[in-house]
Amino acid sequence: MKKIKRLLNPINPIFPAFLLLVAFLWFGYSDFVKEKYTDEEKMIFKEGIKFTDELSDLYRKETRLPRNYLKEYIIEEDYTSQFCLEQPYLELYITDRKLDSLTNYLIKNDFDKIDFSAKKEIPLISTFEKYIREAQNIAPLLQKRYNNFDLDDNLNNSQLNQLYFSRDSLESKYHLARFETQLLKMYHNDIQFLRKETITNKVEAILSNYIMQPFICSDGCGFPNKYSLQLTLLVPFDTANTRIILPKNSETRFNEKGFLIIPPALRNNKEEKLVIGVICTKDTVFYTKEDL
Amino acid sequence: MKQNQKYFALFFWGILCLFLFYQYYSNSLVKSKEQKAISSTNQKIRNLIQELHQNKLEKTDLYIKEHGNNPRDIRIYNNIKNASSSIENLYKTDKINLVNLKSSLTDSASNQITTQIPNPTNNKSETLKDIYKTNLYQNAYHLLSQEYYKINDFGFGFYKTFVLNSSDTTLGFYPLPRVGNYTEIPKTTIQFINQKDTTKSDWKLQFDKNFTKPIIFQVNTHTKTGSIEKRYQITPKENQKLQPFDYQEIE
Repeated sequence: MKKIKRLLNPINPIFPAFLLLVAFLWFGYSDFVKEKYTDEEKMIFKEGIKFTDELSDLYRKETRLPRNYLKEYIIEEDYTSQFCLEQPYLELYITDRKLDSLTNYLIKNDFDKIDFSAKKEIPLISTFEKYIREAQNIAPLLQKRYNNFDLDDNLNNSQLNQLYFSRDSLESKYHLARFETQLLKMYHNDIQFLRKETITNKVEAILSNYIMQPFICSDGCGFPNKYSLQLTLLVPFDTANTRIILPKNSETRFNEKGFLIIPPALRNNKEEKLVIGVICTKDTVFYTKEDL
Repeated sequence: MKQNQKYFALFFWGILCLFLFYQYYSNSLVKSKEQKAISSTNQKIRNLIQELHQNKLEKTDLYIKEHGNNPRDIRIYNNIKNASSSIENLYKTDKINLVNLKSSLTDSASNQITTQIPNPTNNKSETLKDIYKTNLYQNAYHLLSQEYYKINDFGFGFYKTFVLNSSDTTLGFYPLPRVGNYTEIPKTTIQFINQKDTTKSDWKLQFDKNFTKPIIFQVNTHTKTGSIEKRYQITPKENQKLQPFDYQEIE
């Protein structure tokens, strides 16, 4: 009894030394031996990683251009083929495939190989910079983008590592999955940007000069013994790719907006042929006169 | 000897206090960093989802406007829109859980939403609760994104072109509210002014072949800022067929 009393005496150095030892052991155990999360808690992280990966896939799916898009939707339609979209679309499609495999390559080589237990600094920003560099090589138009690239709140690589990858490896994986999605979003936005620059803007500039034109259908257009009054949308030609092949006279021409002007003398002349050729890299499509 | 013991004891107590304080301090530092990192990642995930979804909604909106009147498509589209706005509401008011999500998703999506992972409500960790919440949010949106496939495939087409034979302006095709994905054409209507029937039509009207008095019709173009009206007059011609552009613009 006396011995215990003497041991618990705060003046006795053995008592605090013992407590210190216990504290060392306890924190040592919880820091190095004991797992931070229970199995159930780990499941929450794993589910989160699964969903974020799914989000990456959705971005990829949403971006992917179909190979036969033009065949199905554009080439078959007389009108759009006058814009000579086949070549730009093919280029866009090839760029899309290249950027798609670039992101695949980076994820496989830079992200999937990361070993979080090695406690080495992860070159996260340089992976993104690699993507930007390569993407700009593949599609020089992308040089307009990424002037001040900021991955995450202006943090540099070691700050990012400190914040996201310096603790539990499961946590790190959760963060990394999100960075992967960000990479795929860059790819997604790049393709959208290129599509706008190389296809949409051009077509839009021409189509925006449309006019709504009323016309009288003299055979009634399905209403015998009546006249029909119809509204028609008229859009100009893409004169950069279009030539008037017949008739060969200077009065038949495009006006400054791209509408075709036919001299009055030729309008009702059934003998006179009207042939308009669209010059594309591969196809030449002709428009011929049709009576109303 | 006793004196020395006292100093030793004080020294150990001091070390113990410092050690405990250091542990407490570094622990809370790690906790707050962890919290910061997780909430930043969750916020970014949410932005990524919203951006993708917004993109899809806009595309669908375009499709619906372009191809118009399929009530089934419109119903699916509205369901998706409503579901997404209620998911956002649940997230903002911090009421996101399985039961609430089930009731606000579309029928087929709500049947699929499921998680084996118990809600960590009893868990002290805010970060875990935050991730759980984000998981449900992601799950809901991923299921919702499958709903889009029920809408007919997005495509855009043009009708056959034809050359107007008798006009200064020549290439034309049938009226569409929108031209592909490219440019928005304002809604236009046409109507007679001095006839019995002055109903507006989107594109087609009829009148009698043997009319004797001039016919006045009006083309209305409805833009975002208002509507522009133009009037034209068709004058009867004796013993002669009307040509497609036999009308004059009048004040």
